[in-house]
Amino acid sequence: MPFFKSLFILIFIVKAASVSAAFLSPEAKGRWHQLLHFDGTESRADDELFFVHPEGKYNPQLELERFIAIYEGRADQQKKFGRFNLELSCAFPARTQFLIKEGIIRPKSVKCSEWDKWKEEVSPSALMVVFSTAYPNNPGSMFGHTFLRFKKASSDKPLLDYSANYSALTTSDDSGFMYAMKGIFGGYRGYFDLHPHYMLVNDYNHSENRDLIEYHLNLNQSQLDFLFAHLWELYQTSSFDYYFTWENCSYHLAELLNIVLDRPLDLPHRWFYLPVDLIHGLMKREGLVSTITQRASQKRVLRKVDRQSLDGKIHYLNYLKFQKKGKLSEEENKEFIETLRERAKRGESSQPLEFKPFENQPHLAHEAARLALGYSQRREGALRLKYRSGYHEFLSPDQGLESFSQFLFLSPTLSLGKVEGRTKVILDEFSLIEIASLHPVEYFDRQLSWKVGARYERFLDESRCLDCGRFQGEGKMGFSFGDRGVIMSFLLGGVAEISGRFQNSYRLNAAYELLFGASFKTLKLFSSFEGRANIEHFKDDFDHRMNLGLSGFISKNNTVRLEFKKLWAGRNWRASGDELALEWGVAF
Amino acid sequence: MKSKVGLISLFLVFLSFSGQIQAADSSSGCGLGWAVFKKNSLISSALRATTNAMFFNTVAMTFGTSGCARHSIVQNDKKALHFMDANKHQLMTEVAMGGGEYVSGLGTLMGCDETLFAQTLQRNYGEVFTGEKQSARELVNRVQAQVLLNKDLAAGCAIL
Repeated sequence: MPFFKSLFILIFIVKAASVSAAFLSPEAKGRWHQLLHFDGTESRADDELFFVHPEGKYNPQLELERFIAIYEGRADQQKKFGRFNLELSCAFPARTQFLIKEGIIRPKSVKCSEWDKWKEEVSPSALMVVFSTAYPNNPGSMFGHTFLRFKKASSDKPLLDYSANYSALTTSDDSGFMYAMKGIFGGYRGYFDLHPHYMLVNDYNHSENRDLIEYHLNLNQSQLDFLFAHLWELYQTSSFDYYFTWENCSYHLAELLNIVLDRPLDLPHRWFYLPVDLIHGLMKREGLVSTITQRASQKRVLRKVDRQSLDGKIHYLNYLKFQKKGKLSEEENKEFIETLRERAKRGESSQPLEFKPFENQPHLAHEAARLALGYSQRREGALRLKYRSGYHEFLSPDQGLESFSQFLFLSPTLSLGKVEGRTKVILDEFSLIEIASLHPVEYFDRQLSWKVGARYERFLDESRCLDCGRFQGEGKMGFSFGDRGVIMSFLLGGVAEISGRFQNSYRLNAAYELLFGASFKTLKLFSSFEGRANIEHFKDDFDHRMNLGLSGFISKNNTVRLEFKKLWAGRNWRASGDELALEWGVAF
Repeated sequence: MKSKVGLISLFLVFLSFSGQIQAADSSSGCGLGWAVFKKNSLISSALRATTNAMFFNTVAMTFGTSGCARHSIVQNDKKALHFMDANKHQLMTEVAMGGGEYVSGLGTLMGCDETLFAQTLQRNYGEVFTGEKQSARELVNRVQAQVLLNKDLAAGCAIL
């Protein structure tokens, strides 16, 4: 009988201990939720390997209790975890460390050879968030990209460090349409991954010619170790649905960093999250970023070197080799080899190139959404409310961004003014998407400039119904000349317009456009002149329109704009409508 | 999240003209090591879209020859080989120009004095880079041979 009594007491103690152990302080509970990427309803992690309890994705408490039970040998004793089939504490070292620190479980000796090898090889002693600047050739990467570099304790060679990248695992047989659809609806899975840093430098810096800007973070060794332990957990147990505009690379890097910060990085108050938002979040947190370093793309190097010198030729031919994916013509290849041999014979070593801080460092950029209040002389004077979401506008400050580029989406303009004699709120304009890359021709790069867009807007033509709208889609291509400060472009293409006011309800136009821009520190001028001709009534249905814009920058996020539009219709350039508008806007 | 997805569903259709929504990272070589292990075949590049101008030299890297372990780190005995394979063209240009970050990186992986290493390779450029189609293995062998021929350099190199 005493035996059964003792057994009963023992069971009671063990049971009580396990229940009480599963209670965390509110602060610790918050951290546990972070480790599970729990957003209040469910975990953002979408891989069952990330959870030890079948309900773990939705119930952090059950996940905690099961984790403790397994750790203490009271459940799933034979079970292995993660993609490498590891012991619990080897697959989840951050969770284990956290619960030990909270006094909930006791340390025990477990050999984790895979995890130890990872840790030993990377041996992180400092952390940088690396921003890869926009890649204008590809709309999907026009927002830039971010990844992490772990500085190796024993090395002062950044190339030999390791970098962690969060990226979507895609399949090459998806069409462009499928890419877009899967990107929107989370059809791709995103994974954390680790690479020697030189691999990422090759991809972004050399192949895609994107500058790399590094934000060195002030983290102590225990923060770094904990973050790295959690990265290991994510790497070998987890994946996430990948959404291009929210749960993207930068969003998940922010979540990873939040694990070791006192409070989470600020999220912007809007519906999309871009790589630049992560950088703004880091810079806004006092003392978090210690220094900023940079790595020049090959194009930037070519702008710096003397193109007539041997080194200049070598840089150019090396650049060309990357652009042609290794396949230089026989003549180019011969020239490259001879130039290299000649340079080697000369014997001296070239001095490293020095650059001023790049003008496209993302922390200098304005915020990515803008709300503006203005006045237009249309409709006998109308108040105007404009919302712009995206990355950049032609009239926005260029600091921190690719100059004279534009990337807008879902951007409406509302007016309060007279419509058919009555004061009404009317949707004057709605940009579904507007992308433009005006890329100056350089001796090493004769890349095309282009502009595409789809939007709804009201007629400016007084001979038509001013209160009526039309849908418009455009696509143009051409060349630009200039630099970051001044640009001139000439584009050719087509514009399709749909409206009940047109004969057959549509108009298909051939179009040309001249654009001119000048960008200064506190002022920017951008103007365009466009001609359109209906391809079905070429002789008598054409018009010309001019847009003049002047923008003054009170600060990078606080700007005023004056815009003037004028339309001339037909062969005799009949003045058919104009608009003058003034607005003040704040980016957020 | 789902409402946000709905909200943006229309406009991104227009991006499809590009056919190139970026998969954030298109690199190959070491990476997604568990996928290598699981599939027991090629490296991750075979699974990834070549969305952008992928670095041309690394597409040939395969597990076993490039030295990537299943957990994404480069095996110790293959570090110089992997570095050479990934950075052959940068190394060619820097060796000719008498040094730089890549030459210094290779020197470090071989445990050599960086300055002497760069000078030796530059002086013997033609002995190391003999043709267009040299493999990474051949290049590493030729670099090692040059190191061995220079007694001062060889004395301080850890790999030899």
